[in-house]
Amino acid sequence: MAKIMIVDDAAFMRITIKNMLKKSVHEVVGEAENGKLAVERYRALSPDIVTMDITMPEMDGLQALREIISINPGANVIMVSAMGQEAMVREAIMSGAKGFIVKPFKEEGILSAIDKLA
Amino acid sequence: MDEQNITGLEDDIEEYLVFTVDKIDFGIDIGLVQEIIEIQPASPIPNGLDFCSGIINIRGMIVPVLDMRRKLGFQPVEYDDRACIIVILLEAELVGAIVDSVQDVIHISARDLLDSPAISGGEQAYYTSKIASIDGKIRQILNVNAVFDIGNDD
Amino acid sequence: MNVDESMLDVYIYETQQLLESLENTLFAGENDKKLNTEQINEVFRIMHTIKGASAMMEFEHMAKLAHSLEDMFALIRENDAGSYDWPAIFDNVFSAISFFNGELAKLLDKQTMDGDSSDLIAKLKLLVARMKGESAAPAATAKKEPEAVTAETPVFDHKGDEAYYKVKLFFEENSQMENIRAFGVVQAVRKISVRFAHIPEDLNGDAATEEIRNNGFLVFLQSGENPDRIKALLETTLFLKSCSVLPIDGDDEEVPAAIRQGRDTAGAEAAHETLQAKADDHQANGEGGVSLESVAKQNFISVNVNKLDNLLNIVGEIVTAQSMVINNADFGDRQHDSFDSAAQQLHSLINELQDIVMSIRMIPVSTLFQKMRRLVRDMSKKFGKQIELEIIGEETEVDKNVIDYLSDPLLHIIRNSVDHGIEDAATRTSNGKPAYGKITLEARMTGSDVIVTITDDGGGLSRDNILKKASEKGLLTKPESEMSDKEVYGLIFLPGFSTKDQVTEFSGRGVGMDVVRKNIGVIGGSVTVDSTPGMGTTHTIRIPLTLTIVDGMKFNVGKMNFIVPTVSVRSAVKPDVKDIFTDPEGNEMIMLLGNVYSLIRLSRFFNIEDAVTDLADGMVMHIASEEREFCIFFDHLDGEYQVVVKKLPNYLKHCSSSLDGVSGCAILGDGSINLIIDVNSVQ
Repeated sequence: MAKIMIVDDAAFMRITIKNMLKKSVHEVVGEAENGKLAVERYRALSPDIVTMDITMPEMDGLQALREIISINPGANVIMVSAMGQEAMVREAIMSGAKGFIVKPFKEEGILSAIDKLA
Repeated sequence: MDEQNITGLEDDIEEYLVFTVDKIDFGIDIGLVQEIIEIQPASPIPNGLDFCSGIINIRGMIVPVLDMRRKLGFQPVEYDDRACIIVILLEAELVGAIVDSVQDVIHISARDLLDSPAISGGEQAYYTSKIASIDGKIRQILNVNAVFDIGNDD
Repeated sequence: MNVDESMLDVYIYETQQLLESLENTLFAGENDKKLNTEQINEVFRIMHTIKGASAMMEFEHMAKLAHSLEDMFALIRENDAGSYDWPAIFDNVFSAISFFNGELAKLLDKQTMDGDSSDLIAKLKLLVARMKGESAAPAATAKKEPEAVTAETPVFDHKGDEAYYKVKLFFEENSQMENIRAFGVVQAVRKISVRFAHIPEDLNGDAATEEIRNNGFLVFLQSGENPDRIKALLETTLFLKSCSVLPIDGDDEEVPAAIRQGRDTAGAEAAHETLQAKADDHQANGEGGVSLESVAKQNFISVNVNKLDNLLNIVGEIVTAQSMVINNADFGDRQHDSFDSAAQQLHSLINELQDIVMSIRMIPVSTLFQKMRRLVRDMSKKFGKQIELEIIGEETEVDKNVIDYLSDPLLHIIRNSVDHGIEDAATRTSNGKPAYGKITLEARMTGSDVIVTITDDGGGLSRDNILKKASEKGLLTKPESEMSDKEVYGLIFLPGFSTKDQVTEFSGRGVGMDVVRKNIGVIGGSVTVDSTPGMGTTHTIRIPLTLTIVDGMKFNVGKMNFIVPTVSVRSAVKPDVKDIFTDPEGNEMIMLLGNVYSLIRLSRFFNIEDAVTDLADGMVMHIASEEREFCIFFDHLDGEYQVVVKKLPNYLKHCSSSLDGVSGCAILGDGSINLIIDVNSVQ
């Protein structure tokens, strides 16, 4: 069982992911709606895995990823991206993201990614 | 379980609540029925049409009540204590229907439902969509939309 | 994904919120005739979010439209100082907002979303194509990233005993963006290899994705790691379907020449730097200005309005029950000081509770007013008029229900102002007015009421035209010469005055001002109009701040119980039969304190049997509303109550030939149902 934190500015996406994870053994320990909060809550909650949206207000997912990696170089961060964000995903990978998932995704998709890192 | 289940296909079976108006049995899709309550005085409404008995208060909800005898074109009577109000859900609102009495719930297989013969004419025929013959008794299945004026709004 | 109901609610709610803030951003931008960097970023973000959510819900047509908009704003974002065809951009985004809102409305109504976004998408594509042609070349070249480094030598020295491996990977079907997944593999491979090369060589674009999907991603590498460790490392890749690591001979023909020769890494470094620079850039864009607003937002929760309605109903019932308990307390002759003081305390607590519940339901009119901005914008374009909408007091709060009832009347009045009120620019200038027309929408509070005024500086209402039309339709009850201007203007609210001959895209259902009055009447408000020829027209809507609990007088006519809002009641008396007479037309009139009023027998108006018919046995109530004063005749007065107004069931219209004269109902503590009199429609 892994502790998961969901970062997305859209409540819809947070709830969707949370619902998908409900059926798994993993536990959602926290959520954040922008990069700034994500970094703060990463420090506070030290989740095992973070799902990170890229496009967000305040601080985007890439910057949040970099800050989280600087706190914990081994952090497991999965980027939640969409078609058209190839360049951003590359940067995320260079910055230490463990992988990415492309919207729209299905339950099996996100579970397989998380199970692999858990 | 009754014998319809033995001969009919399971998934074609519908449940109907059977009630009586002027000695005639009618059936209404049980799915529409919310509850059955005892008859109670209704408050009249302004310019009420003759078939509307008025409105009643069911747990804080205002529910219009129709007199099925008048609505279906039968002779009105003083209702006795066998009469009751069938409360049905219509377009997200509750509506009550006063009937002479409620019999029971029956299962009717789709095969036993026949189109209503359009010979009798009159209001009852208009309000009946199907008939079924169960144990030698004829039940008329109400065309709820027609009875309650649903779907022909202004 | 399997769509459960609650997700649908969240989707609809959030998307609507996003569209609303998008619209506000556009309005702000349209004033400056362009969007600034921050606004462009916001629009991009909103579209991105809508795209993602719509795709998750499998609403393809919504996702595609959002994607097209996202693409367009991605392009603009790259060169936000560029010159663009902003009017066209605004128009297209506004159209898209309407499309999204339309589809969401269908979704809310549980209808199929059958809208077709392909026209809009085509238009956007065209616009984007034009932008690409027009916008300066730098944006286009900057987009090409140097990449395609096929063989790399890491910094460490190699010992010379490294073996060659051939690695073949397949990704899961539907994992998407396989080229970037391969790029991720390359990053992992780099850490363990002396040299490596991969096929396809170029990981940019759809061709690479396609090849990887069909043939897998092939990596040749030279590494000191043992094959099991290589395999274990690569198997941590997400969405990996299979991975094989085979030792091969370094001189094998299959091995790309690049590894055998060992190229330098200059290319790779350059690529990395470019990416880094872009990333820094990006960060600078994203971080600017942490707004207080988003911090404050976390103190709010959204609540289903049904829950608030229930809460209000319960509080209303507590209010009623309380008055029953206190009024019915029958203690004989003994004084009960302790009861009285407890009752007093209960009363003040309940009042406080009621105030809190009311305040929870209050929302600012800003959203509604912003909707009007959109209407004025679209209509003035359509009619080729130049109109400015000024909004004052949009922070004014009213009950949620009021907003719902206010929306249609406002739309209607503003439509009229734009369509018929404001003249075209030529007429205006020739009359010495500014070419720009102006509509002012204002909300303000006065004690217990909210007043909304809609003022235009158009041509004003024409007394003569109104009189002419009213007399054609037989609506005049007085000689024209005896009517004040205000009375004449009031004629436009009569049912039957409005014609349906001007049904346009905006006037829609062809409703008239009578419907405006009826809607406002439902929430206990009133609407009046005043006008100065040549100078403009002002509509004034007055609505009670809290409409759902009213103080009312209870009375009965036959078996029917009624409540009339106390504010409208002047007096209730046993009439002196000699003061009642019949006018030549057969209408009953009554003389009260020297004035004559028409006397309406509610038993006739509502068609009630078993009511008191003898004038000497009943009572008369003097009622005054903003528009008129009159008297009603009823059976018996029952005292004053505080009641919660409930809507009449919709189905009731099937049960009655006319529900005019009642606006709702109330259930009292004894369970009885009372009808609430609408004083404006009793005639």
